[in-house]
Amino acid sequence: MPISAALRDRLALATCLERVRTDPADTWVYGYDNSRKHAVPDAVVFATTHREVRDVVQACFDAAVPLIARGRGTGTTGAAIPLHGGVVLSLERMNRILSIDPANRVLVVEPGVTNQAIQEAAAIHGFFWPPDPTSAAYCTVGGNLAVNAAGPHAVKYGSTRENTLGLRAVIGTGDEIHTGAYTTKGAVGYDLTRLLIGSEGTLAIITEATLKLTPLPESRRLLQVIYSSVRDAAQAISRIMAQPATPCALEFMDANAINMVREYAPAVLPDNAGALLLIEVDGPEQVLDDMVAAIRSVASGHGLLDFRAARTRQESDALWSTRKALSPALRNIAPNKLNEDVVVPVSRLPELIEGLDRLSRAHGIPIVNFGHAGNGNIHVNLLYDSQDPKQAAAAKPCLRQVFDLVLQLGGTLSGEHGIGQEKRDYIPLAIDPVALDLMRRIKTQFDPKGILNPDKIFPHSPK
Amino acid sequence: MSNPADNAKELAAAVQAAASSGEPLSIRGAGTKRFCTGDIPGTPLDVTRHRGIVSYEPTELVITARAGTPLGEIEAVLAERNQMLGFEPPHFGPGATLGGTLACGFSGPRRPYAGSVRDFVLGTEIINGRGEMLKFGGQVMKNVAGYDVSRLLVGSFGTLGVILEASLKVLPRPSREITLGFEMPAARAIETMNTWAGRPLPLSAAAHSGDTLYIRLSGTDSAVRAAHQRLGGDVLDRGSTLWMELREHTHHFFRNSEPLWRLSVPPATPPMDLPGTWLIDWGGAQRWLVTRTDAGTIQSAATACGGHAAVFGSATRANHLPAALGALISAVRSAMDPDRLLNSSL
Ligand SMILES: Cc1cc2nc3c(=O)[nH]c(=O)nc-3n(C[C@H](O)[C@H](O)[C@H](O)COP(=O)(O)OP(=O)(O)OC[C@H]3O[C@@H](n4cnc5c(N)ncnc54)[C@H](O)[C@@H]3O)c2cc1C
Repeated sequence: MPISAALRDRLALATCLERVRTDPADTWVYGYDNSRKHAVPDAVVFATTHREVRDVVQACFDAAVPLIARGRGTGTTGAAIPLHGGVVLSLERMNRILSIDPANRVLVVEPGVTNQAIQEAAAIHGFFWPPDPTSAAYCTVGGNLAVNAAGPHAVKYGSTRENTLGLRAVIGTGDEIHTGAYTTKGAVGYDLTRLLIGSEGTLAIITEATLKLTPLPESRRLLQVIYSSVRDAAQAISRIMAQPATPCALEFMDANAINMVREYAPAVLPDNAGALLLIEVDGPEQVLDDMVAAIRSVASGHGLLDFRAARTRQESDALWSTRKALSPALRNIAPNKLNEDVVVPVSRLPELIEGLDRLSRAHGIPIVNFGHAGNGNIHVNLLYDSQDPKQAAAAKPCLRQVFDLVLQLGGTLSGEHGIGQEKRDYIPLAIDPVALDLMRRIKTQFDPKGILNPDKIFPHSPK
Repeated sequence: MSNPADNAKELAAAVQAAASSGEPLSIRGAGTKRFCTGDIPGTPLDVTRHRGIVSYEPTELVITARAGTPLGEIEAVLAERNQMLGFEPPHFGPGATLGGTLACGFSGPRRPYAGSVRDFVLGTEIINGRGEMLKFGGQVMKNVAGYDVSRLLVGSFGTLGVILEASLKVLPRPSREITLGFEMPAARAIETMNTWAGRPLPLSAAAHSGDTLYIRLSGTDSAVRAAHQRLGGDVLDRGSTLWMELREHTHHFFRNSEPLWRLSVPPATPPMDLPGTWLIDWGGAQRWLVTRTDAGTIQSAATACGGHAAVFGSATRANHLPAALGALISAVRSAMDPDRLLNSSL
């Protein structure tokens, strides 16, 4: 349904005519994200300032029209898709770094800045911002905040939530709020910063973020450890995490994943490899040998097949290339994939992988698993061909059983990608009705007309 | 060690009864933070009997305990397995409970380097103002399924719900920990703490008191040794006592009859021009001031450098929030506790 001329005028007044697009030729590309779902918005508005965002929200509030915040559309769950049309508010032009304060280790940015631009600005002063999604070059910090994005280094440095000090945002009424404080401990009032983080644009539009920076480590060392089974690897992971030399990355691949990337590996991987760990440690050069020795001693144990430590940058790049080859390899092997990012307690990893193997056989759908093992966050990839009727029919029921398995193991549906539209209908499996109802009531306080990213995260309430 | 007991049903029944009678409740732990909350009017709701460690998986680095469990008991159990609570919580008295610690949201000297109490809460179980039991989050390290209500509860002083149980992430104890002392005035100490915080050093605390900068290093033997070589300074014999005293406010600085102010400012803020005695903690971000100076002067000085100030142990609830934020916070509270039964005076 096209938006009214009156709303269109108000949006143009809030921004400028050139930045309000309603021609489907322009709006089409703002209707999808990496979930490959698509819905055409009725309008796309490009905001360049906080004030413009506020005026756009007020216009949509008055007209009771859906408003969907959008970073760069790299999300994997359909969170940025305008399910019911309405206005997509693109924040990609709010891409200024507002201030960098090395003395206090703080960076203030607009939401459209890419993760990589943040890393580059921080690096000049010897810092980094820990959230490190693989999509860093393209995704925005607004998107990172909205889904609590993270990457391999979260195991030591935390995810977006632990590295954000405060936000400026516009709630669904058009009112502006500041959350948190410039300092590391705003103890005043409720912690709305962490509430907004991970809320997927359903509570507020983030217009400014104050980020906490971390000093760049002096150096890093990469280790590759191979075990004959996931069980042996899981026990080693627990031993590694329980000693004080916490690695800055602890990545895992199961046998199916290993088999997919054998040809990319710098050295022959043992035929009977059941699990591969990539472990990275960081610190001053003179202590890295000790850290490697500490990891080596706890990594040794039942089922250890191979342990190698990269000594040079080239060797370490070669080891990472095995992991990095996975995503393209997955794309080549099956036309369609359901890519989940479940979390289970580390000790339940063997049961997860065994259970997934069973589901894979029962449904005739290959499942390949890898991910951030240090915190139990595993990327589960169901590979199928939508042109194959049998596989196409089995994919969704198989996925449902994957979620059942994960929850039964004390886990959760998502560790870093969020819920969006794709996982929305599974949320009641994970959150009981009373808690869901409360979350909906919280949403109503921020967004009384329900205009902000409607029908995401929460399924329709049973009325 | 106390006997574990599951008192959740009784607590929920008490809240339900309060909800139907409209009688407000005053949630009580061990009372160690009463100096901060004041006497809360209402029928007492004693949470201390809901106690005990529900599960502890050292290999998962997760502990789940009922709200009435004494913090000391949790710390002792963790210490047996060479683990600890990373936020180094102050007890402020014997018997301090987990629930009270979370509700007040206090963290100790390790906070700027390891994270605040909020950063360690993985999941909670609560009773809302209607007497319903709700669960948020879980026992896993990462979770983006639904809103992060658990973290909202931390520091909410019992105004959003009665915390029944919480799962916390725990940390391995560092294999070595030393405290270094450096004689220098406050201005240089603040500069030094912040310069060092900007480098990849194993810092775990930094404070300045009197004319000494105190730095704590924690980590593996070799990391601590390497950092000590780099920074110099003398190793203090009674380092761990010092941090304990700062954490618990038993340090002689806090033994004073004049008002104690807590100023929360950007850490690199130079020494502030306010009369009184200062103690600087959290690498410069938390500053204690004992003074008779009037409140307005202190608060505007704090605001001028981008922070805020309050007399410690009072005014934990902010009354000076911008209108939209204040309204929102009050609405969130109503969503959880519609009749304002829980700790209504806060
Ligand atoms: C190749 C590839 C690799 C990836 N790897 C990772 C990874 O390693 N780790 C990881 O966590 N994710 C990963 N992702 C997912 C994705 O990149 C992240 O979720 C990212 O944070 C999304 O950012 P975006 O700017 O593209 O947001 P979008 O996709 O545009 O939006 C995502 C959500 O954020 C909301 N939003 C955006 N901006 C704002 C704002 N200013 N205020 C309020 N809400 C807002 C949207 O409404 C939507 O709900 C990957 C994606 C791809 C394509």
